[in-house]
Amino acid sequence: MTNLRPLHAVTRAWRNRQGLLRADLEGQVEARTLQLREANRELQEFAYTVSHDLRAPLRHLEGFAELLSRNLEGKPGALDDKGRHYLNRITGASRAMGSLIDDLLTFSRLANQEMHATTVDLDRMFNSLREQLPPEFSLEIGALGKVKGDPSQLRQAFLELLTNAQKFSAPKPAPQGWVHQVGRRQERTIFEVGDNGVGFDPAFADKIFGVFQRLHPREDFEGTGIGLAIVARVIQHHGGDVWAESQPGEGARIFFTLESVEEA
Amino acid sequence: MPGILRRILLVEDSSADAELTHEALLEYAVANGVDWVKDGAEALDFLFCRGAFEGRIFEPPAVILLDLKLPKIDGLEVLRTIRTTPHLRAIPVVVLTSSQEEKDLIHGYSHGANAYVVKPVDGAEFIKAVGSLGVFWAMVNAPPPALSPEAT
Repeated sequence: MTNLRPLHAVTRAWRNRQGLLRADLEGQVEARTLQLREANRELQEFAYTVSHDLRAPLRHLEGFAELLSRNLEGKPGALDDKGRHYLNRITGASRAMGSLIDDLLTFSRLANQEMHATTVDLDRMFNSLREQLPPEFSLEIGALGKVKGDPSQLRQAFLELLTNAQKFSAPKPAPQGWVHQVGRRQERTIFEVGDNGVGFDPAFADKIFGVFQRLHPREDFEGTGIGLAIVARVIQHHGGDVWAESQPGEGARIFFTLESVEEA
Repeated sequence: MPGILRRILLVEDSSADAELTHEALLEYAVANGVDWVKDGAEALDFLFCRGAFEGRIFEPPAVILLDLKLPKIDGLEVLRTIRTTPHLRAIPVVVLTSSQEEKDLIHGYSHGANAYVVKPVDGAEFIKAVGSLGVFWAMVNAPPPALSPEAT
């Protein structure tokens, strides 16, 4: 008890300590932010290099395969069916590689993109996206309302969802898709994009959101398998969740949550 | 210079791309003839008739096909120099590149490119794109009157 300091001195010391701690914390946050920004810049440079330098050899592969086939065309018998088949394999493979690069690039750009959040009218957005789908695909759009989000990112995610719904229902005699509000979860609205297509084994329901994950052979359904990874990335950027339900042959339903904006 | 075909200057570091470009122009019967240089420094030496091109008589190309990512001096720098040099300023320049990056497009145009063409990866598309741009710039387009290097 002999060492007892006056209360005001204790308070002052405590305040000083708090001040120092806060300054230290702010310094750390600033340093981390700088590091992150640097990492982001490096990633963007990497993506640029990938897009420019990896595309060139592919272009050469395809260009010379094309020249080879033109060169042989004028010479009867020079290229038989088997030869033509091999040439098609070469161009097919380099084209597939090209799409992989493009998709990876889209995906990595998305990771670095800043959010420009505003109010997005989902009814209007889905109705305009419908125009990009083939007319034989019947799409039912429920009342969706408005959400808070980045319009260009959401547009890209929704286009991926609708393209998937259309693609995987195309083998059905009457391909159908739908978009609905299906409930609330905490502060968020749950939306569903579904189709009556080929569906998938629910055991793989989490896998489908991975980069380049495919559940069907490329010969059956085109695409690199980046679509749902883009969807998941965008929805997570918006602080939402995304999940899927399906049974083989019974269509697929993709759910996601977004923050609704109530009409004034 | 009616009746005389001006040559095309191709600035391209990849020999594969240069050969493909050459073939594409031939497919489209562009008979102007192509001068090929492999980097930005060589392009400027060629245009200024200096270095390895000392003593060359200056003739403005019908069009310069310019890659952006080049060794030594990059394409944008070459373009900037062309646009700030009186006797080169009016020569049509077509940026021919792999890059679809927005910033390259913006820089290309703001540095004064007359056109910006992304090299298609598809072989047949590449031949079509390069061949038809060759037809347009080397045969259809009326080039600017030739200025001598002494012009200011």
